[in-house]
Amino acid sequence: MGFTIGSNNELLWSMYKIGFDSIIIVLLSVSFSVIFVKAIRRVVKLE
Amino acid sequence: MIKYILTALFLGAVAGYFNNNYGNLIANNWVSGYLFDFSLVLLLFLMGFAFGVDKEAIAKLRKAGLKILVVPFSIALGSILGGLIGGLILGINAVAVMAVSAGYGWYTLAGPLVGQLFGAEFGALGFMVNFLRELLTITTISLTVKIDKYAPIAFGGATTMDTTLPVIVRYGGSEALITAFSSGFTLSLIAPFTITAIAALA
Repeated sequence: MGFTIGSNNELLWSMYKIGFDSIIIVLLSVSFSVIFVKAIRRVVKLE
Repeated sequence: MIKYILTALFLGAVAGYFNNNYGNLIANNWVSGYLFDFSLVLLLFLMGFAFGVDKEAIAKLRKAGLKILVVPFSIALGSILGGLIGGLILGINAVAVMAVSAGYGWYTLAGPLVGQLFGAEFGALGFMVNFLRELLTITTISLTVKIDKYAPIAFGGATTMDTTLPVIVRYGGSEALITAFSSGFTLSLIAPFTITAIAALA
């Protein structure tokens, strides 16, 4: 995978954008995961 | 393990850069195509093998019962929805971002698999998003455990069956062990299928 990224100059120079996008996506993913788990725990009544 | 993976990724990127800019000693399409596919199939085979030989994993899951499966499925739904919203906010391919989020923290799988299905750019995104998820779980656990005792398990996703399990048990107590392990186990099991299923939507 590293080789594929390194051999693509366009992709290599857009890594800063990919890094920024990653932060937004990971924050949204974990936030919604926590919200869903909290909600389902109330419905199913998990200890 | 993380340091070896990052070193391999970095060295691969350097090798790819030099190969592309200072003479093609290795054909890029051979590496990106055949070698990439082969290593991915090998990874999936080894993952299946590890699940198959681990009798304790199946026993732990049975002990926890079916009720406990609502946790990983909620995490999966939340992750995919978060990916969809993220894709829409950032104005990039929302289906690909959903697939990226469906790695649930398993960066060694999500990066290559998403890369094969949606292209190298999303492969890099898949690696980074899932790698950050694991880092975030470890670095913020002292705070997330205060939100809810299951919050670190939700943060960790598929990583809660191995790499983040010790810190989750350390902060969440031994009662978090079964839930964390079964959640990580289930998410690791469904990750390749959800990624490919989401790719079928594109």
